[in-house]
Amino acid sequence: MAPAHEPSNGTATVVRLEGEHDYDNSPEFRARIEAALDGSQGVIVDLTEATFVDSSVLGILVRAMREADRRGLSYAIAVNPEPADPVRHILELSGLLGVLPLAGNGSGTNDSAAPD
Amino acid sequence: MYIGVSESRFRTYTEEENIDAKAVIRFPAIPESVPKARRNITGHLEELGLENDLVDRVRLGLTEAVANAVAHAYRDGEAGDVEVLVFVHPETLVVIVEDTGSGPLPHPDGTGLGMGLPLMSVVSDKLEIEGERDRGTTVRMTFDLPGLPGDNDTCGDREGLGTR
Repeated sequence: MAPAHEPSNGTATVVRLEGEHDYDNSPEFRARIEAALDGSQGVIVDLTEATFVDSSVLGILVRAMREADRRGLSYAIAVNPEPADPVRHILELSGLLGVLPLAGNGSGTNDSAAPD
Repeated sequence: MYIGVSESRFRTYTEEENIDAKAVIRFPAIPESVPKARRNITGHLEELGLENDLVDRVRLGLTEAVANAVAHAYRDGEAGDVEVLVFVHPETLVVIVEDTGSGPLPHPDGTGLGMGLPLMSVVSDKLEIEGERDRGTTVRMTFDLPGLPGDNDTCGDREGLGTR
């Protein structure tokens, strides 16, 4: 189930993923991100504490990006900057590292503070 | 559940394959098996002392293949099993994910973005998918090994077990 309240970062809601996320538990993530899109002016997905994501999670990230765009909401992904970070590696392998708006890299989103 | 290569439901393996088999595991085709299969195989990969880059790629490819089987193989009938086999040959690591379900068919109702197969292709050095309608699907991913640590102690420059 989605938590009733995600932490809010100014006007954006931070959806933080920890540990491993895949086909088994990604429906929970989908519910959380949909709730965040419904209830705030923007969403930051914090993947810095995540250790694994699969294509079901990547699909949710891309769909949320499109939905945020459609609704005029800010949207950004925070990724561990370490090159060896497994989630960064997966985003690279999938080709999405250059597609998803990364928090804190001047990608044009109006998120005010990216976790670092 | 651990099974021997000789007990694999789907095929007969050669003697050489028996020797190279590192893991043969059978899971029910349910969502919980996706992380279980990944964690189980990760343990075997860590024992082999593989580079993190390779471990990341095997973990992702394996996850996609098992998730595909869970999502699509048995949707028209009773739930079946998924077998995961890992072979370590001298120059390659081979991961096989098999089911006895409906066979490799397009999934127009897919909820993903169709990224599973492309990811399996990107992470592996060779991707083969075989199957027949109602006879199941076999996904075989081959990963080139840059050279495994040998039996001697002189191969200490490969480090970094685990991905966490």
